[in-house]
This record gives sequence, C-alpha cells and structure tokens, in this order.
Amino acid sequence: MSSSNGVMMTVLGTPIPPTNAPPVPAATAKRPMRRKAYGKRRVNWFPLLLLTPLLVIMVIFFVVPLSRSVVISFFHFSGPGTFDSSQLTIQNYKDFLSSPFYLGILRRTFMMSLIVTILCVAIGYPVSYYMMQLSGRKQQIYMFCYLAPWLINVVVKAFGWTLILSPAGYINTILLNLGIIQTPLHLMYNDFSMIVGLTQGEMVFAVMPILASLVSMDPELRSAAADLGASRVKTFMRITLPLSLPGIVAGSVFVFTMSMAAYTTPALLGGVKVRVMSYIAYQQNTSTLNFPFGSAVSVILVIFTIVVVQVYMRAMASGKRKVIFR
Amino acid sequence: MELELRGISKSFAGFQAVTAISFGIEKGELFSMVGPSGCGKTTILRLISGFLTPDEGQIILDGQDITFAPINKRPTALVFQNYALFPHLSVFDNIAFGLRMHTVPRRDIKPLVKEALDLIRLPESEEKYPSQLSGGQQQRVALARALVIRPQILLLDEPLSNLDAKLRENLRIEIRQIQKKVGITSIFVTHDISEAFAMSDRIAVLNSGLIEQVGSPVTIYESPHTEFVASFVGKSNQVLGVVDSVGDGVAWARVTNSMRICFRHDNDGRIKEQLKVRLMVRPERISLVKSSTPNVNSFLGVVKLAVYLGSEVHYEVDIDGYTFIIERQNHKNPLHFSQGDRVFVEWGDDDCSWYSHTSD
Repeated sequence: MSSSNGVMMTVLGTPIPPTNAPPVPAATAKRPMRRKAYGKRRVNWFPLLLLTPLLVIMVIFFVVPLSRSVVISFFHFSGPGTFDSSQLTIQNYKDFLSSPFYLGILRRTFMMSLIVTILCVAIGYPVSYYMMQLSGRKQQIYMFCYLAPWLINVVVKAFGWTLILSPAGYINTILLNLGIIQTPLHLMYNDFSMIVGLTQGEMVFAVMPILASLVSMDPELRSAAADLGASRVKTFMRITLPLSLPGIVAGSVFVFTMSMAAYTTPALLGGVKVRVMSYIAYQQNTSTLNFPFGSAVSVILVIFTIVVVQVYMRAMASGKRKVIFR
Repeated sequence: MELELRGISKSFAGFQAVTAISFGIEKGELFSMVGPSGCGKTTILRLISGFLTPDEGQIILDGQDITFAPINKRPTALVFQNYALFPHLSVFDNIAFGLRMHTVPRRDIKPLVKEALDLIRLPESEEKYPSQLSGGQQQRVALARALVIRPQILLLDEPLSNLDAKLRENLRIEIRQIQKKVGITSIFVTHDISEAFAMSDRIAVLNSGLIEQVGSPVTIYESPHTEFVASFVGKSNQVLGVVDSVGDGVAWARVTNSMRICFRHDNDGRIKEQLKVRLMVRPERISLVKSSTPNVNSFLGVVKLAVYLGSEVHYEVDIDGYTFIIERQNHKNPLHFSQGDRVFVEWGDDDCSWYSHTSD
C-alpha cells in the first residue's frame, strides 16, 4: 500500500519527508567513528531544513485553519458571527445528517464528482494512449494543449462556457438556425453545465498520471503479447489496461478529490438552483455567519472524501491486483 | 527448407538496415545470426516474427508466403532480450498467456504449463511473480512461455546478453539442450561469436545489412570467405600476396621478397597466377621453433612481445615488417621465448585459408 499512501499524501497536499534520504557527506565525515562505534540513529537535519519553508506555510495556512474548523464545528451557534465555546456539542453534525436537504447536497456533490471522474478517465484514457505513441516533442505539445486551460483563470473559463452554453450561446444559436430545435435548450445553470465545466477543467489531472503509467510500461510487453497470439483488443485488456491501473487510480483520485472540493465552477455554472457542499460551507460561513455549522459541513466533506478515496484505493489494490501497485 | 527468406530488404527513414538478404533454414536446425550492432540481425528477426514488414522480398514458411501475415497469426514465438515477462502475472499465468490466446481448453492448460516448467527446471515457481525471480530464471520462464505454444519457429533475440558471464555459459548449454529435445527450428541472434559457436548448427555472419557468409561453425572459423568474417569470428593474421605458382591442390603466393606462402585450394579454377589474394592464418595454428624444420611455411622472425596468460602464451613476432600474433597452449614442456629472440614461425599449408582480395 506504499504507493497508494503516496497518492493520499499528495492529495492532501502534505508532503512526507523521505525517510531514507541519502546522508549528507559533510555531516557524515564529522563523526564517522561515533556512528560506527555505537550505531546510534542519527537524524539527518538537512532534508528537513529544505522542507521548512513549505512546512511553515502548510502549518499556518492549512493545518491551523483546518484544525480550527474541526474545533469550531463542535461549538454551539449563538447568533450570526458568534459561537458558544463553553461546551462541546455534536448538534451541528446531527442537524446535517438528519436533514434531507443537506444529505441531498452531499449526495449531489458525490454523484457530480463521480460522473466527472468517470468522464475524465473515460475521455482521458484514449487521449493518453494516443499521446503515448507520439515522439517526445509532440507529446510535450499535446500536454501543453491539455495544460493550457490551467493558465486561464477559472472565472474566465466559466464565462467562456456561458458564451457556449447559454440560451443565446453558440450551441443554441447553431441548433436554432439549423432548425433542429425550436426553443433554446437549457444547458446553463444545471448539473449538465457544472459537469461539463469540471470535466474540461480537470481532465488534465487524469491524463497526466495515466500517460505516465503508459509511458513507463515496457513497449516490448505489448509486442510479446501480440507475438503470443493476442489480438489488439486482448493485448489492451490483458496487458496495457491492468498495467496502467495505478495511473487510472491516481488520476481518478485527483479528479474526484478536486471535484468534491470544487467551488468556483459549480458556483458560476451551477447557478442558484444547483448547490454543492463547498458552496454550502461558504454560504454558512460568509452569509448566514453560522461558523459552527459551516465548519461541520467542511469537516463532513473532508471526511467523506477521505473515506471514499481510501475505500476506492484499497478495493483497486486488492487481491491479484496487489502486485500491480507494488 | 522449412523457412526461406527471399531477397528481403528493409530500410528505416533512409537507413538501409537489411539489403536483399536470402537464406533458408532446415527443420530442427538452430541457425544463428551474428554481427556487430546495427548489422541488421535483429531487424531480420523482427521481420520473421511480424513486427516489421519488408520493403522488398518474401518470407516463405513451409511453402506459404507469410511476408505480410499479422503477428498474432504467425506460428513463431520470440524470446526477448529483456525477457518482456508480464509483471502483473504469475509465472504460471505468464506461461499460460499464449495458450489462452490460442484458446487451448482450460483443462489442458495446467498440464502444459507444468510440462514447460519442468523443461526449464523451475517446477516450484508457478505462483511467483517475475520480480521475484533472478535474471536467469526470468529468461528461462520467457523461453518456456515461447515454447509452450508449440511454435513452428523459435526466435531468440540476444536472450543471454543481460545476464552475467557465468550464467550466460550455463544457460546457452541449457537452451541448446532444450532446443534439441523439443526439436524446434530456431533462429538465434547474438553479437557474441562464442555463443553462436557453442549453440549453432549453422551461422550467418552479417555486416551492415548484408550476409557475409553462411556456414557451420567450423567452416566459418576455418575458411572465412571475407576479411570481415575472418576478423569478426576470431583473431587472425592476414597478409596480402600475389599468386605466382599454382599446383594440384596447392598454390604459392609471394608476400615479400623473402616470404612466399604455400596454401591449399580446391582446384575449382578460382586460383590463377597473378591473382591478388588475402591469406589468413589463426594465431593458435602457428608454432614457434628454434631451428627451421622442413615445413612449407617457415619464416625467421624476431619476438617483439611475449605475454604469459596462464593457459596460453601470447606472442607478437615481426617478420619482414609484418607482425604476426601467435597463441601457444601452455603445454607441459613449453618452449618459452622472450622479447628479442630470433625464432622460426611455422604453419602448414592446410592451416591457411585464402580469399581473393577485392581492391579497396
């Protein structure tokens, strides 16, 4: 499970310091005798030193606020912008878990992320497979094309989708002019536009790990399979697909986690009717000013995501497939 | 002739890898292709297995043209240089892969795989994964995986080059034994001439996309047809001369004023007076003596270098400005010479082979 743990760490954005980092020659040379004589475990501070700036930023802007949210989620709401910290309660969680409205939003967020993940992998896999066969230079150009949307602000991207999907947008204009439809289709401010926007935005995070797993595969394996009588389809199903599973798992974990936490795209493309967890957390914290409940929503979102991702990764790397993930 | 290549040519983006190659392989024979890297030997193997298609020429298997047959429909199996075992499949599943692809009934697969594992002497490893095996074991599994589908032609693409020297020598004997036991027609590609000598019925020596010579190991070593073959398959002393006398079965060529070499020929009319010839004699065929014996080829020289190598002694002797390398086995009572000694360098007329010297 070492590789899947690695994925998890990256997902949470917490880099783990390498445990078997190479020793620093200068430091080793100073006390070679003592080390040999007592076999004492020496802490190598140098890698840690390099990690310090990032660790400080992570602690101040990630660990502290998140821990604070966890704590506040157990406080009582005592009016907009205030809370009662005198005693702990699980009322906020009870409120959430007993409300069909909020559970519906969790379900919607999950379903949306699931669909986006499936679409990203299903569309991204053939793209990766095609890119794998290209030369290094062409591969870079293609990768840039898929990365390019990330150079554009997510708000601008959402506006771009408005131009395409809105009742007066390109799609509706073309279909109306061709006489295929009489009234504009409702393509904006619903699940559809949200899923389209997220899929387009997050596709590259499925493509990159899948491509990496395909490229690292020995091409002779496909040759060997063909030589042993396997058709192209069988070679793909028996050799290429199973061996690219780590890439698929990594890619789907990236996309799923990002979709669960997505805020801007659902807010701009989902409109007022379609709400997701991150939007509820934002609304509770900034409009309703119910910090304890807003915190509880955030914590539920984080825990739910971690559980789903862990169950998924364990299921994928189980049984005979274990060997692929080693 | 079981497999026949007729005028095969192949080029890659302007690089002529193989030019008008033709040869045939008999049933049950182990045929080696040797040559330096880039000589086209691997290309030929890939043309036969179907990973490449030739620009020109035909590949005939049992009278059938398979030049453009798809890879998975050819009765050939390739053993890869880097083994190419499927890392996510156990040894059993690796070997069974080809059987499953050929839709062998499920109940027959197990005994066939067991039989293959016995053949490569790894009966207990079916549950293991390739990463748990040593390099030699992996290559044996790769061999079993190829053999189990009962291919008509077994193709081996430098299967031993990733292994260490000791293992290589053991495995080449083992592969040869298995090949003979199964009786499978095999083509073996290597850049190591000793490997080819140890394993092959016949050898083809290739150089820059052309076949230089095809023959048994003995023929290739003793009677090389070209300068390239002579130097590629072993150490050699080569001198240029002009034929000045032709007799029945023997001829003489003048190399320098004092060096006139006697050599054998086949009376096939190729040897004529005034013909420029290149004469070749292997270092181990030359003897060194203190006083001249009535030998046909006996020349006085000066020892320039004597190196003791244990099982043999390596000499370099200068004769009229020509340096001859000589390897003497370390016999019980060896005559040792040292630098500066005057010695007679001798060999028989049958120790010498010749080929006409193409003007270069």
